[in-house]
Amino acid sequence: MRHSRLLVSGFAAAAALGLAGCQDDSGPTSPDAGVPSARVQSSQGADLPSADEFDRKVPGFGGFFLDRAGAPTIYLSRGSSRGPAEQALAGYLSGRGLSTAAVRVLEARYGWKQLQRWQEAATVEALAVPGAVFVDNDETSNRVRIGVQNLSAMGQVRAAVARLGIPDDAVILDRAEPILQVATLQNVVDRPVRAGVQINFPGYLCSVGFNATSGTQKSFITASHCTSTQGGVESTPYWQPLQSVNGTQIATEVADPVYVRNGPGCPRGRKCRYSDASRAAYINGANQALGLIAQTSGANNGSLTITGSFSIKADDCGTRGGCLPVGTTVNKVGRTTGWTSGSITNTCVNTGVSGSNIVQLCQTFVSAGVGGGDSGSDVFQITSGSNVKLAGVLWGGNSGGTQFVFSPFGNVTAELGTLITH
Amino acid sequence: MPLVFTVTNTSGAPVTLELLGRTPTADFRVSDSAGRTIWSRLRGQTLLGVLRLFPLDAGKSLSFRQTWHQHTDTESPVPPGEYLIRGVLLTGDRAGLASPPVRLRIGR
Repeated sequence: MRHSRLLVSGFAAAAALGLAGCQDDSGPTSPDAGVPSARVQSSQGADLPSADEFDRKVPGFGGFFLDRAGAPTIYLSRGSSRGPAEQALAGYLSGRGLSTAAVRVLEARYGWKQLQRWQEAATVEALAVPGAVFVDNDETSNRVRIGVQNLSAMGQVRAAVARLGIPDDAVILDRAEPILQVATLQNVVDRPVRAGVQINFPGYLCSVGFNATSGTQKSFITASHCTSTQGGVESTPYWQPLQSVNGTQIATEVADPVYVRNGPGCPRGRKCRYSDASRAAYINGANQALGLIAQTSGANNGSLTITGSFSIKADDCGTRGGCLPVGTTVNKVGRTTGWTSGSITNTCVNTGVSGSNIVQLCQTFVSAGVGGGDSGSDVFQITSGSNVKLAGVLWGGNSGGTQFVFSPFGNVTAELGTLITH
Repeated sequence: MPLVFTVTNTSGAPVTLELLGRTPTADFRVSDSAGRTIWSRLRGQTLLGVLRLFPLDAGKSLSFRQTWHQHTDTESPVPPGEYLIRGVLLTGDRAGLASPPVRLRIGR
């Protein structure tokens, strides 16, 4: 062995990494997600005061905004001095090399706090009207602005506002499009459940592989390691997308063959299967979206937003190892990296699983993106438009997230039995 | 050469980590002075793609240990010179949670 001398002492000390407590705010898909505090943050100089600060410090305050040219603009009631406003904005202005003359003053009809009270009162009544979209204390117009979808809603909202004693002049009614929640592979409560969306079993997240009917039992396929114990049935419960978001259990594990030692082709000291796949039966069969895979806006663009669905029209052959050759372009949709696409690089690879004594026999490797949580994802070939041919179930990848491994459809059916997928 | 990589929750509240795999997994990566990764513990390995929701209480740590035998991924002894070593906790994010690099100089 070559002798080396360390010139840096103390290297065996821990390369510690401090972890702050503010968890990434990934919305309803992650437990313990915190709510970020809103703050107007300037990239140059001091922060802008909040509306509440303005209201405390500036007599006659009616609202503040930056106009289209970026000029600081403030509403002040008639007769109010601009001095306190200039003082409140001094740090912000000097950070940008601006003088107090840059502050534009508009005459306020109503005070900020009064508008706040009217907004709160109007919110309760107006948003109860079907077709009402939003209620805003609009700092750019010194009015309460209410968005509605149609004329019928407009009339009802106007009447509700009048009953509250809010001056007609203090309210602006606008036509507005409804605000829709962006559905992603991680947050969507998908009913019926399509392939590719997030599932949760105790302590873990995975993706739905594909919906399948076994005999008459409506089910979905996911990875075997997306069960309480990889190999063997423990009746693992599943929720979609997360138990804390929708607490109604959607399915229960019903099929997950055990891993076998000393079988044909299985290395000594290891245990093997031909697929990392399991089947879970829906509690309510109506939740099965047979043949559908959630589709996002595009391949390899990182988007998780669901824009439509792929339709399974065919399955790969039932032969072990599959029938798609090296060079074939395949796709997957999973909750972490969304829709990724790439070429098959290796087929029928006997693959050791890192950190375990498991070997998955005769698997397929693909050069495409993958991440933690994508396990169980459906792998498919696009045949035309949104029509696809099912290729298998994704279960792993390399540490760099640039290559994934899947169990071919034929391997899955050899172990889980005949499956109707579309 | 013994390596220790520790991830600590330094806040006053518990956090839930989203970790790749059924058990917390860390990579150790050594790069040369040109920034090339010459050794990675997990190079060439296939990892399970499940995401584990791992609670870590305030003040608690995860630690990972590895010995680096001063060889590259191709089993060649590394030449004398400066190297950087990082620990990377594999998470749901492709970049993982990485430690600042530690500088190491190997001489004759």
